[in-house]
Amino acid sequence: MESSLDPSEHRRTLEVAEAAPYVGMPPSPWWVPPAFGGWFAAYLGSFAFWRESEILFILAMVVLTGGVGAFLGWYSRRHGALPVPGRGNPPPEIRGEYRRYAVGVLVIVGAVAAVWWWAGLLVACLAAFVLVTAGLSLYQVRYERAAATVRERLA
Amino acid sequence: MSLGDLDPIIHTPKRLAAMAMLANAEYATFQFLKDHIGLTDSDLSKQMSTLESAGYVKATKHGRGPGSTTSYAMTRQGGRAYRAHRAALYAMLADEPSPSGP
Repeated sequence: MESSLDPSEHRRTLEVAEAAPYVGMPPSPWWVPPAFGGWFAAYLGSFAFWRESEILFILAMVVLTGGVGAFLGWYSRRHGALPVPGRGNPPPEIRGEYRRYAVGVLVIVGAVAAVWWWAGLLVACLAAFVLVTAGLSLYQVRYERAAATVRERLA
Repeated sequence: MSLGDLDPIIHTPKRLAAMAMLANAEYATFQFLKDHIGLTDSDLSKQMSTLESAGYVKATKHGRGPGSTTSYAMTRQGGRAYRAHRAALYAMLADEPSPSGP
């Protein structure tokens, strides 16, 4: 019986399963945006070592990269699946959020670079913390709303 | 397009669901697949073994003992088979007369 499936039922199974890695996860904890804001600020701050001490600069980069690796490991263990933007067939609602996220990243990087240019590294670190925290918080809220819409559509 | 264009290994709903999830993730754990497809451990093991034997997925074990986890990733061959199956299915549906059609 299991292979004698009506094609439209087959498509429905496919659509629900394709959406699962994007919408089947628990919501991200509240501390993720400030943690990433802090990470980005620290990343920028490590450039203060650039001319002072190459060793300290490299060490800071290694620690920060390790931190991201640890976060991704924890996140994917918690989620059970790791969707990768640009691969697969995300639901249209989620694809829209990915596009907005990419634009948001470019805007924030541009804004932080401009602040660094005009006001110096310390102010840029502060701007990075505020903008990344606010941007990610907004993304989380929007993503969760889009995921709820997908879950409702496919229920 | 006809039923013959669909991949017989992917055509069963349980394996189709597993392949669709893996096509959209770098990997997925056994638990994630089990929770979202709604299968028992033994049934999911059986389905994943079939996909592994066909060369469509690759399993990786992390850790040992009760805390160990198994995760699955789609192989290139699996990705090609899935995309072809998906395209055949959508083409078949496009050929179908609309229920409210003439």
